Parts: sequence; C-alpha cells; structure tokens
Amino acid sequence: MYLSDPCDQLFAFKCENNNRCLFRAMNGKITDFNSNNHRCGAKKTVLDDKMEETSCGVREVRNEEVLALRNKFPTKIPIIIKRFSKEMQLPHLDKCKFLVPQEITMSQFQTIIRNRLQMGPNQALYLLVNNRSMLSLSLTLAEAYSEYAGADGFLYITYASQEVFGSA
Amino acid sequence: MNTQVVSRERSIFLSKLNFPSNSSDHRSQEDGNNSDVEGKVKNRLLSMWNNVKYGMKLKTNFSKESPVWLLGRCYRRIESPSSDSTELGTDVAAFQSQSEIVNNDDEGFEGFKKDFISRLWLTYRREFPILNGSNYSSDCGWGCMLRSGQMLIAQALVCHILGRDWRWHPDQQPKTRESFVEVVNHRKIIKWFGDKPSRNSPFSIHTLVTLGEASGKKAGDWYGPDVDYFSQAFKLASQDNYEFDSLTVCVAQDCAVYIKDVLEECTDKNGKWKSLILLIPVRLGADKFNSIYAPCLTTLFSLKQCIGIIGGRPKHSLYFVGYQEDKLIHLDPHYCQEVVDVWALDFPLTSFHCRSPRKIHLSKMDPSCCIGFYCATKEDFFNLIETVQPLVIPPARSDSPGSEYPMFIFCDGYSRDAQLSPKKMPPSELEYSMDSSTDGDDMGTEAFEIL
Repeated sequence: MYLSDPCDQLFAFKCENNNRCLFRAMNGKITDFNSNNHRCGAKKTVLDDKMEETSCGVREVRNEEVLALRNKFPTKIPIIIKRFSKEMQLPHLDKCKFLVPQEITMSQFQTIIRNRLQMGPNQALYLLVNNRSMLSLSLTLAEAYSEYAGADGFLYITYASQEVFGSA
Repeated sequence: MNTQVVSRERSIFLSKLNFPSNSSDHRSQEDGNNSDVEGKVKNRLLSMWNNVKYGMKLKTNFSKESPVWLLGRCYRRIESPSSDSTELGTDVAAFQSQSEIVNNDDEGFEGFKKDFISRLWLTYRREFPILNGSNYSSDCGWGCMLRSGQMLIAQALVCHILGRDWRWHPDQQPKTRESFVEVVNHRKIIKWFGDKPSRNSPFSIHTLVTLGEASGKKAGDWYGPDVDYFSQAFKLASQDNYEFDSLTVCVAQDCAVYIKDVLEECTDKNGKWKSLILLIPVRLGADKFNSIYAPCLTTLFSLKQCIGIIGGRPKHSLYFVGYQEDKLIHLDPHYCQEVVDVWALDFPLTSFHCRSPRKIHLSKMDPSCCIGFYCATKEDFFNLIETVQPLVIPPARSDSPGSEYPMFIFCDGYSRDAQLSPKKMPPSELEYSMDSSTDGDDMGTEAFEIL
C-alpha cells in the first residue's frame, strides 16, 4: 500500500514526550506525499468531510490515520464531530476532530461541546450518533466507540439543536 | 360534501382576492397611509389561504379493531355491525355542527369523541391586539409551535383544575353547584390563553413572544419545541394568580431529568408538594424521525401522567394527544380563526374545541419534539419514574449485541453537581496540528484537538 510505508516510518519516530514533534514529522511526510504522489493528494482532499464515505482509498487513509493515533494514544477515542447539515441556530465548531479520553461519558463530552460553542444554559444541544440521541450519564465514549465507530475507525457525532416550526 | 366545502372556501378566497387588490389600488393613488390596510388585507388573504390548505386533508379513519389511546385513556370499539371504519369530523366547518360526527351506538368510541372534543384547541388567530414592537395582529403562518405549546399547558391546567375525567358538555346548562364551578373554571383556563397583552392572560401569545425575546426570538419568527418560555410564563403567572401557587413547571435539559432538582422545585415554602408539569424536549433523529423510537413514543400515551407531545411534521407544528396503531392523533393549530374576546361575558367556546381528530403516520413526524407529563402528587411523580424508564428504551436490534439508549433519563441528584466541568480544558499549546502553512485547506481540517 502506498501509504503504509510512511506510516511505518512514523512509528519509527521516537518522541514520546513531545507529541508536537511527531505531528510535525507526520505533517512533513504527508506534505511530501502531496507533492510527490498525485493520487495521494487527491485522496487527501476527499478525506475531509463525507460522513458516509465509502471509497476504500479514503477509508484506508483514515484507517492508517486512526491506527497511528490509536497506537500513539491508546486511551483516547478519535472523534469527528460535525454540525447537523440543516442546523440554523448553533455555530460551527472551530475544530471538528478530537481525541478524547475514553473514560469520559457522553454527557461530559456534551458539556465540553457546550462550552466550546459558548452556549447559554437554556439552549438545546443534542449529540446524535447513528441517528440516535446519545445521552446517558454512564455511557462512556469507549462504549459508544465500540458500538458505533465508523468503518474508518472514527466515531462520528452530529450535533444539533431543535428544529423550528411554522408554515406560511 | 367534503369537496364542496373546499370549493366553497376556494371561491370565497378568489372573490376576496379580487376585491381587496382593486380597492388597495384606489387607495394607493389617494395617499400613502394605506400600509395598515394593506397589512390587514395581506393578513386576511394569508389566513384564508392557510385555511384552504388546512381543509385539504379531510378524512380521518379510525380502525375498528385496534384500540385508540388518548392521553392515558384507552377507547376500544365494541362490536359494531356497520362499516369497517368510521369517518370522523370531515371538514373544516365540522367544529361548528355536532351533526357532522357520525353517530355510533357503541359506548367506547363515543367516549373517545367526548374526550377528544373536551381537549382545549388553540389555533392561529387574527385581528388580535398588535404584538409589542411589531406589525403582527395575527400569528398565522408562524405561531404554530407557540399554539401547540399553549395546548400542552392548557391540558396540564385542565388536569390540575378540572381533572382528567372532566368533559365539556356544550349543550347542557349547569344544574349542580359542581358543574357550575366546572363551567367557570373551564372559561377561566381559556382566559389565561386570551390573545391580549394582559397580566390576566399569563400564557397569551403576547406574553410568550415577549419572553421569547430573551433568547433572541421576535414576533414572526418560527419557534422550536424547546419550551423554556413556558416555565418563565409560569413564574410570572404565579405572581398574579393564586391558582399557580400549587403548580410548577420543570423543563429537562439535555434529555436528563434530575430528580432532586424536581423535588426542590416541587416543594413549597411550607414543605407542601406542588403539582408538577414536567417537560422533556428530545430529538429523536437528525434528519428524520428514527423509527426505533416509535414504540417508545406511542406507549407514552398510555401513561396516566401523559399530557401529550408537542412536535409536528417538519415545519408544521402539531399537538399529539394519542395514537391508534402506527398513527398519532393530534390537534392542529393551523386553522386561522378570528380572535374571541375572552373577557366578554359568556364568550363563545366553540372555537376552542376541535370536533375533528386528525392523524399522521409516525414516520412523518419531525424528530424534534417535547414530551409533557403532569404529576398531581409526589406519588404520581415517583410512579412515573418507575414506569417510564423501561418504556423509553427502544427495543434491542437483532443485528447488534448492544442495547439501545433511552430517549431520556432520570438521574439522582442535582443538575448543578453533574454539570461541573469534567476536566479542565487543555491549554491551547497542547493543540496538535498537522496543518502545514504551505498546503492549503484540505490539510487544515486535519487538526486534532486532544482533550
């Protein structure tokens, strides 16, 4: 596989205490890729969004990414959180990818997102996984991950408030 | 018969359409002070068009075999030799004449009709006093969620003051002292929803719009089923009306009901229990209603504490009061009626009760809704906790070992304890970025935030 090689190299990088260093290195590698390998560059572009992306190339890229992350941070869950496409009231998050401690519960994660969105206490926020409202005080992200992780190894979460009603 | 009504409505609509456009032409030549009139004409047309649309869906069929559930009551048809199903309330004008309802010998279904007609029906109104800071004298086209919410609260007040067994008897004069008190209370509840900016109408659309301003809403905006303004309206109402001293509203946040919060809210200064209206806004899917919740949702209507669900189909709010098979029975606020002066003596009641139950299929429901419960006593509340918890967990899927998660939960303790920040936020220098300055936007989204 065209990507496995640099990822292997990634792990050869020993910098346990300085993660930034690792990411810089990884970054450099991938940038190299983009310049050297057109196919890869194209794939990387698609990689961005697409909740239900099935292209196996993308999945592989993400799988590699996840493998790297899971190896580096075995106790953290890779999450991609997106605003619901028709959401009108809530703002966008500045970041959509998170590595979250696995023992955190869904409701704690919800509090984190609430804080990030700077929401008032009375505003509604729902975290949806697999078209389900996932709120359980005891449900940890590790459990949610084991059940609902996408095929590419990320846990996809959508956030939304309530719909509004009215008809002219 | 049904189509006739529609065509009649249409011809009225068209004739009115011609008339006001001509007259407004004349006026515009005369002076510029006609925007008021134009606004009225526009309002009028809008409400008429709305009512034509409202009349489009005409028949509601009720199956003979399966039971009908209405706010905790079950009505079952007893063996009847006639047709397979009964048509009920066949047109927009149905509420005006009782004869529209097909008479049925059997007691069970008759009971349903009596019960349904007794629920308060609050609809769009036109020509009420202008809403503060706007030009709106009608909520036609935007206020449906507020109306649905009003209906939910009205049902709670009916349960609290008149009781769930109360039935409206439009043709009977009150004879006993009790029935006289009931008539007075019935009118009193409707007055609280009168369309006027008045402290005597704590749940008027005027009050609700004003309270909604705090969350950035204004008259003419569309509202969601997050019903926070109702608990505020209750606080205001209790300042002026002694009836609200014994009643309180709790709105659950993030689908979690904190039991200690509720107990605290429901205990008054003297340690006495206040009756509770518990409102739980939920979201049952992202784009569409997730059908795994269907059985949970319908069983809620079999609970005696249930006062209904406000939600609707997308963009079209409805107040759900019951179900039969896989269809929800609802009261629809999208019928624009002229305002009724509820402060007049013996004001007409007919426009506040609906004679035509309607149904929509569960799959058409919008995922956003708010579930309401009324618990008269502390026992009712604990009974609700006990019975509802297993009911709101969707049945486990056959293709997955894991169990599903509930629509909402009850938790011990106070929300203030649970909502403490779980972890200190990581300082920003811990953000690891794979972003490269040279390579554009596709790489920008690759930044991970480590918590």
